Amino acid sequence: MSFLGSLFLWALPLVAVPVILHLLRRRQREIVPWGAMQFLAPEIIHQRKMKRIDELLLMILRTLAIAGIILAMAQPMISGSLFGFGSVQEEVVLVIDVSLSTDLATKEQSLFDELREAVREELEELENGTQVRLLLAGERPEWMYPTALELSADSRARINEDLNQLEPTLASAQLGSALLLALESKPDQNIYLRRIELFTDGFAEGWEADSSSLWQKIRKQQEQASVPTSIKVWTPNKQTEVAHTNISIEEIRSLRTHVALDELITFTAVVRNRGNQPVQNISLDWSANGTDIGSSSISNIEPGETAEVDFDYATTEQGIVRIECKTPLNDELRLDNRSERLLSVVERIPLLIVSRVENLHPPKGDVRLVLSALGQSQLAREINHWKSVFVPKVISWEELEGENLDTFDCLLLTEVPNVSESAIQNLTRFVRNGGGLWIIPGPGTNFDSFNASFHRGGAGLAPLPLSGLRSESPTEQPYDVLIPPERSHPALNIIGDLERLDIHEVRLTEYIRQSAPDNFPGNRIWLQTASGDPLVVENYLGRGRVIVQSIPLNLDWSNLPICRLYVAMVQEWLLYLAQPSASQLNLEPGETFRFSTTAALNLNQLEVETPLHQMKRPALLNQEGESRLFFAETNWPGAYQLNSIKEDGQPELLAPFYVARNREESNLTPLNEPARQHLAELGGLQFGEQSTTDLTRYEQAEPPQTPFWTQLLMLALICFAAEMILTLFIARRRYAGSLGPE
Amino acid sequence: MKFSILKKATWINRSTAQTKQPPRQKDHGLLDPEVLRQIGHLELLTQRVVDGFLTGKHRSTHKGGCFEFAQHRPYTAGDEIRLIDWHVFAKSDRYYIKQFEEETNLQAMMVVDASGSMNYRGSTISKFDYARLAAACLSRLVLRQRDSVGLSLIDQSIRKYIPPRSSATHLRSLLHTLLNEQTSGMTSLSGALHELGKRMKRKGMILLFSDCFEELEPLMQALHHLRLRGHEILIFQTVAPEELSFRFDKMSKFECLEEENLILDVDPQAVRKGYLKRLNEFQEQLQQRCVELGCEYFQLNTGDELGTVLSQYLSRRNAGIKA
Repeated sequence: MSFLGSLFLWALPLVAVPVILHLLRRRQREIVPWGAMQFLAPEIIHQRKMKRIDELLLMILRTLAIAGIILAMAQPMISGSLFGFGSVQEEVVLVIDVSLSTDLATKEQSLFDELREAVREELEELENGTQVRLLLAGERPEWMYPTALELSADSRARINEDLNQLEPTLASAQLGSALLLALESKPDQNIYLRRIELFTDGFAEGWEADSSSLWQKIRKQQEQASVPTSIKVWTPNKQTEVAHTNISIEEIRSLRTHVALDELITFTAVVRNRGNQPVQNISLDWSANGTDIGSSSISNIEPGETAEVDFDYATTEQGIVRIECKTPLNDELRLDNRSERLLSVVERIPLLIVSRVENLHPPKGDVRLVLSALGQSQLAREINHWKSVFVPKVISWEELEGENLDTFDCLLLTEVPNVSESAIQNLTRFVRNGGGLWIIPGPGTNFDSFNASFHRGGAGLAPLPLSGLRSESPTEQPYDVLIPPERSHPALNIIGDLERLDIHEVRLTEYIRQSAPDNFPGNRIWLQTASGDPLVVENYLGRGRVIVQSIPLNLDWSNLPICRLYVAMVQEWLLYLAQPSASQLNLEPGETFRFSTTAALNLNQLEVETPLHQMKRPALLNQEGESRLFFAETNWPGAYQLNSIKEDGQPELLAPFYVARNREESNLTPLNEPARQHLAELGGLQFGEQSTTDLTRYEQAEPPQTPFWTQLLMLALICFAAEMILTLFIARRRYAGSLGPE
Repeated sequence: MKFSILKKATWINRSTAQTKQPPRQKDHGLLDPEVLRQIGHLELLTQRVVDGFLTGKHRSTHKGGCFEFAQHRPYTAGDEIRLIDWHVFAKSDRYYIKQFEEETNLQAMMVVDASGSMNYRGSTISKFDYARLAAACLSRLVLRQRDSVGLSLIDQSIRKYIPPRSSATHLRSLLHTLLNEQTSGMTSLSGALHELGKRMKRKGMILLFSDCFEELEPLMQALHHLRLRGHEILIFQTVAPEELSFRFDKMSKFECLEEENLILDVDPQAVRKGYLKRLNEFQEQLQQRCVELGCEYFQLNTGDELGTVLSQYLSRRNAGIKA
């Protein structure tokens, strides 16, 4: 037993107070010489017996009450086994590494088979009654069972069955996080020994050995754990640096994932040689929804080198298309020999163009130029020329308020007049819900009105306020030019191509200045004039995007519409703006998957199948005739499927989505001996067999101490109550005697 | 045996220290003038005939030539010649003997219990003091009416015995004895009374001053024995007011006055009811049995004025006898 507030124990001598009072009271009694003893004696014999018991009881109760209060204030902690809180039990947490690298093929079996066998052997060694938890180490650790299992024949069979179904995943094991979670799990009350056994592949990836703070935290948690805890690490037999080949398809890239039917998309496969041997003649097979669509090849990759292979493909089917790239190379680690990317293929994208009424019929000015860029001009229609994926609808500003914006993916506003507050609110809601908005103020735009409606001091749709025309400030240059943008931005990748397009040929004789503060993020300024004025600026609002272009598509102001980049610019920017309206199908681990549909969905009929083949339920929000679905448990890399369960119980695929893997997991560098020693020292891990001293410490561990002051306080209260009752009883008995005849 | 139950109860706390002797009472004249004033005009008369050698107010069991004529009876051989009534012989020529009723004196025996229990004093003087005061006053009364009076101080047996005498100087020796004796030891009234019965040859009056706190049956047997011997018995049960009311509040140690080292821890409130019940039962039985034996019972409460009590008692008694 130990005490948290041992200072209060100094008050323990107070326990003697009732005893002293009891004895003093006995001593201080008056002596009465008495003759008529014969009438007193029989009464005394009875009374004395009762009296002595009463007084003794009172003294004991008072002593106990005082002792109870003092001890409770000292906050005692007692060993659980003192009161027999159940049999002595041990908890074993088996942390199983299911990362991609465990799929490494050895001579007879994979590394994961070896690891699984080790877990089985460990389970067999454990006695029945031991509490067992199983934790899968991935991007985020995940318990196999929500609670600890008590080992028995049934639970063993269940665990073995689940172990058989366990496979390596695309995940990268965050071993430190897994150990932290294992340490943080609260053992049952009757547990006083805990062993954490980590079964891992022995590669350096996932250990974060250089993160001292993490391992110090693990060490601290281990030392401060409520029960003595040891961490043992099992790794396969020592791996030597043997020659091995490992080609990894790191990822497939494409500019967009929201594409039009028959639109030619360039996919780029990033291939890296993660082995220590050069590899020649690597062929890459491409498939779309399982159908071969071609192949490409790489002649040679040296160890550590990366090659990028482009593959052009125009999807011929509508909906979600899975583009897969894999190599048939038979290397040691096959799980990373493939990668995939999901495309959302649509036939048409609805676009709403808003302009002045005089520009509509026939189309004039900006409207005409935009329609031309989308292949929708009168001439183009007559000759059945190419048409863009966008289906434009042109309305006047007056009609904007009555229009249902939810049916469009993006909006283009030209020659912005004074806009009513309700129209601004509609536009804001539209953007927040994922719509794309392209604002082009015109010559007739009132800047103050625009700033008040659209900028709103930075809280509106437009990121920057309009400050005036270029011509308002004197300049010697007759025109201004554009600075070619960085191609890193997906919307600027094509128009920044100076070889094929002619952004450097653009001449700006007039434009509207936008005032950018010094701290405005540069990556949100898409185009900037040579004199430093932002011309096209991007803004994010909710899920949607807004771009403000402060130069109208007017040949009097610039030659932009007649440059080669113009059509590409309109197409790319509209496609970019339309992206957020589509579901994000290619996610990073932990990113929330969002899916919208107009079909009515019932939450009870929805489930998401994870790469671990677990079925999980997404969140559903029905709003304005639209079902919005959210799923945030995307910690494990790999293919997910959002299914709707039909009435016959069969799942129907609503949407697949893919979570990318950590590319570094393909790195098969073993955890070297210095790193092991470092981890052992910092994190208190035991690699291999446990040392004798550690075993002794572990076996000598005492059952966990539990706080006992509540019970003591209860005891004190009970003693007080009993003392009061007894006092009342004694008083009643005494004064009942005085009611006799006098 | 008195207190046998206490003796058996070995668990009772008996202190090893010797019981302190109560402080010697301040000597005072046993003949309180106030008491004597109140009872001076009264007499202590017997209801029965008594044996006596002197002339007095009491009818004697002896008949002979003395004062009051009783009857004539024919002379028989053996009668004394001097007892023949010559006047009758002259008239009738027959020998008659003249008989007279003899008046004799009373032999009163003051029996004072000097056992330990009589030393209880409470808020008044001790029971023993009260008893010897009463005995002294009544002794003087008896002597003044020319009767003889004796004294017995008893505890387990007769500690002091002064035979009855009627001389004036006898009172001094009685008072001296009463003054110089102290209470001690246990009481065995029954044994002492049996012994007293053997010692008293003549029928007389026995005045017992005691608290009578002992087992009732042996006491009654002893009284019965005295009654069979023809003694008139007056029992003056001397008790303290505390003994009758048991008005104690605090937890106290009750120390036995008769048995050494017998101390009881008592919660008076708790035992009061039982104590009074036992006491009242005892008192009722004592009175009832006394009446059955033909003894006269009278309770002397040490809280009462002795003169008043004796005066009232004697007045009532004399009135009853004369009636």
